[in-house]
Amino acid sequence: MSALKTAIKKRHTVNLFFTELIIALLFFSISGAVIFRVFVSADKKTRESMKKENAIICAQSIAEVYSETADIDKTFDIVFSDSGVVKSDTERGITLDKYCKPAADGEISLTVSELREDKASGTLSRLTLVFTSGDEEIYSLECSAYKSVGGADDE
Amino acid sequence: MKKYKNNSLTDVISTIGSMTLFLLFTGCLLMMIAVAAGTYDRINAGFDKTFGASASLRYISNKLKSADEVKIENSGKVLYLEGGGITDIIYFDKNALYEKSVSDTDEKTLDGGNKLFELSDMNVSEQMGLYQITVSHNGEKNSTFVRR
Repeated sequence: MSALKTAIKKRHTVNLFFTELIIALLFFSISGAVIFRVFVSADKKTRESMKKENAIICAQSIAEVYSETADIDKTFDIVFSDSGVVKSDTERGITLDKYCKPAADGEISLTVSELREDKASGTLSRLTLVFTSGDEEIYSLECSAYKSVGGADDE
Repeated sequence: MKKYKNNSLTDVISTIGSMTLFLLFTGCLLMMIAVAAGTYDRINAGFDKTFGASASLRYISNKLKSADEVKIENSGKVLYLEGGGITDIIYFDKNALYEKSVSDTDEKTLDGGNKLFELSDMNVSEQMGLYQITVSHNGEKNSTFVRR
């Protein structure tokens, strides 16, 4: 009888230990999943911010060169050493990698469109830059350049 | 006796099951820690690469724009930016960018500057009325153009 009681007591202890272990493992698994999700989000945010930062620097370069040249083709040649894809008379496209350098299989797409307004005293050119990754817009910038008839230009 | 043997067998199986579950969980946790450490390393390296280079590019661009007169020497490694009676000397030396401010009348030497950024290389050149600033950091080259 006492041997039976000892056996039952031992079984209860083992069952209790097993239950506690399961609960502890469940708790740590859920916590681990949450922390893992945080790390994945942080990684994703870092990639996005890296792309945005590089896009901003690239846009700055294009704006500065365009304000000097007021010519979309010359701007592409100077900044990218590449003429890009000519979509129309006023639109150009180019594919860039995550560092905003020209790459045929890049993940960032840059579309540049130009609008010219001829006035009596000169030409006002407006440039719109749009950086996209997939369907999502990363960054956009509008800049302009003015070339007077006399030759002097202003931003 | 038989009952005792069965109970003993059950205990052994139960213990082995618990240990296996625990080992499985530990293995998964170690894998997760390895992945998280790898992700952290990648985040750190990406941050260092991007923001180290872009911050230095922005700093030099702003300095160039605000200077009255710019002189580029030593194959683009030294910039003399004059304005308001002060000359800012930005120079690249020993894998870092340094800056030093001296009066226009003082001797302009390339030592004793404040360390700004750690870079592998820096180069400033002039073309077609534009300054091209190129910096290299952790094997990656970044470049930007600034109007004169």
